Amino acid sequence: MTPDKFILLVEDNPDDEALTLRALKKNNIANEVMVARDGAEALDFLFRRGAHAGREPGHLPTVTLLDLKLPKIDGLEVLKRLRADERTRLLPIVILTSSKEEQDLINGYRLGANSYIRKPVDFDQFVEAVGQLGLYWLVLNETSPRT
Amino acid sequence: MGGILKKRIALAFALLTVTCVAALIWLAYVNSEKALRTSILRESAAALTQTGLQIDLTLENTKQDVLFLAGTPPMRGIQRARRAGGYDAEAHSTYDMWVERLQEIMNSLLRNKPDYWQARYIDEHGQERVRVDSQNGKTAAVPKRALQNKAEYAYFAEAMKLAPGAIYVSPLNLNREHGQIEVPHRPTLRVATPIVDVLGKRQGIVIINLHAESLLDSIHGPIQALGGRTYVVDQDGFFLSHPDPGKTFGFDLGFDYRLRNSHPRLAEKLADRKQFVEYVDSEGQQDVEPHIHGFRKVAYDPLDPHRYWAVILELPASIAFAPVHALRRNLLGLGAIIAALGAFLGMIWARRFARQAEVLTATAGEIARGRTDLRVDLNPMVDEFRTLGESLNHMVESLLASEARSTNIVNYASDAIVTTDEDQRIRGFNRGAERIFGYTATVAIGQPLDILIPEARTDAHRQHMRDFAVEPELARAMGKNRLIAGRRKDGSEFPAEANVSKLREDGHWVFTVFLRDVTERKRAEQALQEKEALLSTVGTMAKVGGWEFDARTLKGTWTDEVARIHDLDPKDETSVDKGLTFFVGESRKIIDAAVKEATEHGTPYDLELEMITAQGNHKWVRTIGQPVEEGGTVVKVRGSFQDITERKHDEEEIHRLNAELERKVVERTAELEAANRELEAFSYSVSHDLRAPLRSIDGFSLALLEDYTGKLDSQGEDYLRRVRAATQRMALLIDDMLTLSRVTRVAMRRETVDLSAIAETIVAELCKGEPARRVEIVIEPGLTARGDAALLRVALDNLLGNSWKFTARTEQARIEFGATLDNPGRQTFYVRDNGAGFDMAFAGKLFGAFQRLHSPHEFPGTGVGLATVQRIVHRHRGSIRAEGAVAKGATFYFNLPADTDDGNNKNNPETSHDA
Repeated sequence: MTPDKFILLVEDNPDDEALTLRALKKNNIANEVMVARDGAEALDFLFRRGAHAGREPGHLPTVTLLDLKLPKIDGLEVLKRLRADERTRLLPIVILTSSKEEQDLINGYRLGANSYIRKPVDFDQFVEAVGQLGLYWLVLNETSPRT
Repeated sequence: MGGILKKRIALAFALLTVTCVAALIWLAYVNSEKALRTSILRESAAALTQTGLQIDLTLENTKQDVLFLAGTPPMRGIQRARRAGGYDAEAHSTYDMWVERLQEIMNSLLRNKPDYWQARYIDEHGQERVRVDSQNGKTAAVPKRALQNKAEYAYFAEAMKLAPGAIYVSPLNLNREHGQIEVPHRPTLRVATPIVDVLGKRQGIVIINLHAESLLDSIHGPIQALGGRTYVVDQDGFFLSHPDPGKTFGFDLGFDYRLRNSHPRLAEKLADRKQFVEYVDSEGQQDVEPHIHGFRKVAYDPLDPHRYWAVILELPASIAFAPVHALRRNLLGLGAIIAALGAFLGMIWARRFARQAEVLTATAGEIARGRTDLRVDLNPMVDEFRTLGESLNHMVESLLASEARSTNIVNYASDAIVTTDEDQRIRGFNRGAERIFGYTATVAIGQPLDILIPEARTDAHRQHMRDFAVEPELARAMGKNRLIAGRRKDGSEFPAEANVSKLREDGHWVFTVFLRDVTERKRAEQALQEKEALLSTVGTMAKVGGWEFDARTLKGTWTDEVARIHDLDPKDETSVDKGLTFFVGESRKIIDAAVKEATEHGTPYDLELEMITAQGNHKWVRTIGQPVEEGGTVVKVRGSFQDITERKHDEEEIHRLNAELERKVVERTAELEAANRELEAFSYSVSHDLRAPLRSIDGFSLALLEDYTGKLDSQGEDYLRRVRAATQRMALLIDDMLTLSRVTRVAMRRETVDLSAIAETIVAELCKGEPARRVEIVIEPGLTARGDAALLRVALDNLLGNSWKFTARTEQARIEFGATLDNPGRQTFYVRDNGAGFDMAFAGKLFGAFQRLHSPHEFPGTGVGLATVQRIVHRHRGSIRAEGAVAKGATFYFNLPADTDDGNNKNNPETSHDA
């Protein structure tokens, strides 16, 4: 695992953040995890704006774990804007949410999500899901050369 | 009597005949004389005209002959020879040779025209050069030595003055030879023309002497044919021709006898008339015989119109009217004969006539005295008398027949005919009366009339009859404008109509009463009135009436109810035009067009229209018009007229309420939609937000167990495990609730769904989830239903899942899915198992949400599954029920009606509250 590869976690709930980090850790995923606590911050980070304006250009997360229900700008809107921008059009984005609504699922994929994972309540299952996710995106998947 | 009649008739006939004949004769005489006079005047004029024309013609011929002689070649030859000294070199002829030739031509001319007695060529000096005489049909050229010089004669001098080709006509006078009047007198007319040579020099004249006697004689012809006398006078009034030759040529012979001496009136007329004819009667002039006279002037000299001859006509009336006088004599004779004959025939005819008249008179007298068996003896009768006799006989027969008929009528009339005398005693009682009153004629006759009258009315009736007897009228209707009553033998009374008449018979009044029992009619009238009243009442109640109008006059009638609807008096007369005025605006246009169509083309109509009544009320009416045709023409239109104002108001109210309802539905729908949206938001929130804390609880509980192993005793770890179990159960509950909610909310698609295939899939998944279980699965293949595939899958998922779950502890578990036909023949599906079953006492709770009949320890579950199934079935308009018994399994029956409304209507969402 190259230390360059980092994960962007967009999650407003601190519990979920802690549990997600724990699940990553339990799966021995040691990559850096950047956390954005609302949709606006996520966009600022990725587009190097506002507080993140000084960030090194061209350094994008290997995978972004995106919650849907977010303050300020919700997850689907974030997804839409990322897909509308040339720089982030091909960025791997995994929707990680509690919602089981069919509509959210459909909209997520339609807007260009690479994957949709519903957070199980059972933490064992959650750990398993995060493990598989990390394995896939950080190890197995070859990202687009542009990212 | 007969003798006097006979004489009178004969005399009258004879007088009549004589008068007629005399009148006829007189008429014929007067008319014939008048007609004859007109005719004779016309004929006289014609004769004069003819005479004039004849003279013209003769003169014209002579003129042509003179011109012919002047133009003959010898005449030109003579001139050439004279100029050349006796020889014509051009024609190699001598003068004498030309003279001979001219004599030849003149000879020939005179032989053909016997009236010409001399033709001459006289040279410019007056010397006769060529002369041919004609006497008694013989012509001879006069030798040279006998030729005379005529230079001093007027005709020579006049003719020499003329232009070439012009003609000179001499006065008609007596011929002179060597200056002396030739004897016997020879009246002569000379016609001459000048000879002009090529140089225009006059070389003498050519002249023909015409024997005027013949000319004068010729003009007598037509006039003499009439029986008249003819005179000819010249312009000076001297006679050229006269019945007395001694009175002619006075100017030649030296006496002055002229027209004015004998015919002063004609002489006067001659001054300015060309032709004149008149009738002269003898009135006031005893010595003048009535006659016709007249004249015609003939201008003989083309150069001088004042030189003329006049032909005079004189016709004595005695000669002219001789035919009329003869006719008068004949007529008189004929009249006398006719009169005599008439008198004779009159006598004979009168005799025959009188005899027949006597027979007729005698017989008629006998018959009048009552001998109606007698008839006129027709044997001696002829013509009109026979007809008269036959008529009389026929009259008697007719009278007898009429009498018989009258008797018959009286006897058999259905009306009662009762005759009474002045004392009101019944004298006649026909069969009608017997039938009506119940008395026989023998009983009734002689009785007072009172027996036929209700007792209460007898006095009034008697008085009435007495009044009638003295009044001048001969007949009257009894009880005018009201009914009277009659009384039968059995005392019953009945309504009747009666007339009474009176007749003077042998100095006494006889009354005849005609009476009709109108009981039946009254009953019928009453029934009719009742029916009409019923109809009227019904019409009033239903506010419907009828009308009818004539298609040509547009006049009509309507029932009282129609008038009432118009707020009009039912008694008023009506017409189409009047009826139409109550319609206004668009309604008026519609009804006008409909009436026109109905009257012109027979198109019926049924209309609902608005009208303003006579009192200004606004009403809605329905009028139906039905044309009545006769022989292809619309003669009437009739129909109904109904006040539908109330119905219209009701309809309007219904419309209003419907609109209100519609509005409310829209409102409610909007509210429901809002509620639905809230519910969706809620569901979303539930699915997302409620799970997050659960996840934290579970996650951190596990973190505790993992990270703090050994720091918690076994009870603490057990507690944490319970926390986790409860957390997960709650997550399940949330998921099921969401499913239930979604089942209600999602849109339904209707398609044919293969239920058997779905069941197979579900069962396969279940088996895969618990491969250790051994369950007998029976799925009826090919079961399909119309509905939403996803929802039906959820339903079967739950039912089959339940069966799978509740047979977990059953030995030889069996799960069936199949279909059966229920009572109305609908397909009913079922899912059956032989599992734990349930107590039917709790069957009502089975489909309630979160209702469970088993503890989670026995069988896990949230109690939402069957509620979900029921909602899905309901959304398919179907029904579901359960049968079961504890430990004996359960069967769930449900049906899915095909092709009904899909329950997808957003305005009417499924809001089942039986859960």
